[in-house]
Amino acid sequence: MNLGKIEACGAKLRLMDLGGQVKMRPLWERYYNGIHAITFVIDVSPTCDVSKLMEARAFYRCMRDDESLRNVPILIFANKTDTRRLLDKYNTDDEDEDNDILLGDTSLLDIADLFLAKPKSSRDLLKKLDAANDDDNVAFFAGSAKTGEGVRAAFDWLIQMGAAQARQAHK
Amino acid sequence: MFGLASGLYHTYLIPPEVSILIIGCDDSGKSTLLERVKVTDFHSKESSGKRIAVQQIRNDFMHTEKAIERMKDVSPVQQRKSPSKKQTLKKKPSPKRRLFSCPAPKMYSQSRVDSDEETELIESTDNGVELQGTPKPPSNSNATSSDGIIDLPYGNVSMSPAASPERPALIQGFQPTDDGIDNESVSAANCSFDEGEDDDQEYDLKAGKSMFPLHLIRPTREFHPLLVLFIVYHIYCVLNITYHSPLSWKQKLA
Repeated sequence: MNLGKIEACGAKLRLMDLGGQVKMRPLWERYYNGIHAITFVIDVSPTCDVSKLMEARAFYRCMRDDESLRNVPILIFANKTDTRRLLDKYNTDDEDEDNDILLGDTSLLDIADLFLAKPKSSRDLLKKLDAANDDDNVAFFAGSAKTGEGVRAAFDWLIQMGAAQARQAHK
Repeated sequence: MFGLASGLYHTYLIPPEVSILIIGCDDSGKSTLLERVKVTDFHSKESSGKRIAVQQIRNDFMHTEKAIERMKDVSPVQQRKSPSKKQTLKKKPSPKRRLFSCPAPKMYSQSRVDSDEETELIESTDNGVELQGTPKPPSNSNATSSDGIIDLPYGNVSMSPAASPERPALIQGFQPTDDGIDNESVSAANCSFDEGEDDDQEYDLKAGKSMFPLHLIRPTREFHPLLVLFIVYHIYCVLNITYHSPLSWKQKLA
């Protein structure tokens, strides 16, 4: 586990980064108590396996339905978007060699759709995205930790929500 | 009185302590994200935080939807290809940016070259030239200069003829004008940002701080049970030797 303590946006942050191996995942639940915000990181690079994304989604669903995490804001951070701009480098030839289905150039919208909801049509999806970001405490942000784009926007949102949550918990 | 003051202070003035958990599958970049957050500058102006991502996705989406509507008369094969190429940038969407950050226009530019598009492209070249004149600072955090740096490579990637090799013969008529614009923008990009590779571009970096080197970030692991056993055994042995063994050895030898 890695710990990070910083001050940002008028709040003291205690960031806990847990291991993501399959072995470690049952341990996540032990940290849910006393948590004010959660960042769920997914990999959306073109070389990522689709099965891995589905695995992540299964875990996300488990986490979202957890009792102790009710009202806790969740940020879904689609990481590694910087690799998507080099899309042309990843040719389809690689796909044929190994049998895995790669993410390729799947649009972020589809991925957001996977995680947020199952709307009927595209119009509904837009509404859902809005609703998810306005009313619910789940947000889907994309960015890259390597270059740092999108990180600030995502964490601005998360810290705001987390601070509100912390104040509520304090009362 | 002191109680009242301290109570007030604790309820209103003290910064709330927020515990944030970062989880996700392995190799999704959690530790990197943590290191990035440590060096991200949250204090500087322009915190437009909230719904940027959604806004951006929305823009992309509207763009492609419009394009699809336009393309409805053309062959269905192209329609299927259409929404595939899409890139999202996490910044304030401006009309210029929207053009570049959503380069789906493979078919959008094929179908018809708008007057809007031309003007926007020309604007962007102007932008590039301006930037070329002004020396850019080493650490530019989401200022206007960084916009140009991001945009131009995008335009480069998406609109150069090499990126889209298969062009239907039907729309060949449009190609000359298209290419003319492309060459301008590409050349502007090349001459102004020779050394500025977009891979090295970093956003929202705190002044005087640098990112933890990426190659040093290792997978976050638990203790291996055997390792724990070894450590415990080692400690046990050391204690035993220092406190008991001399006597006991002597006794055994004697």
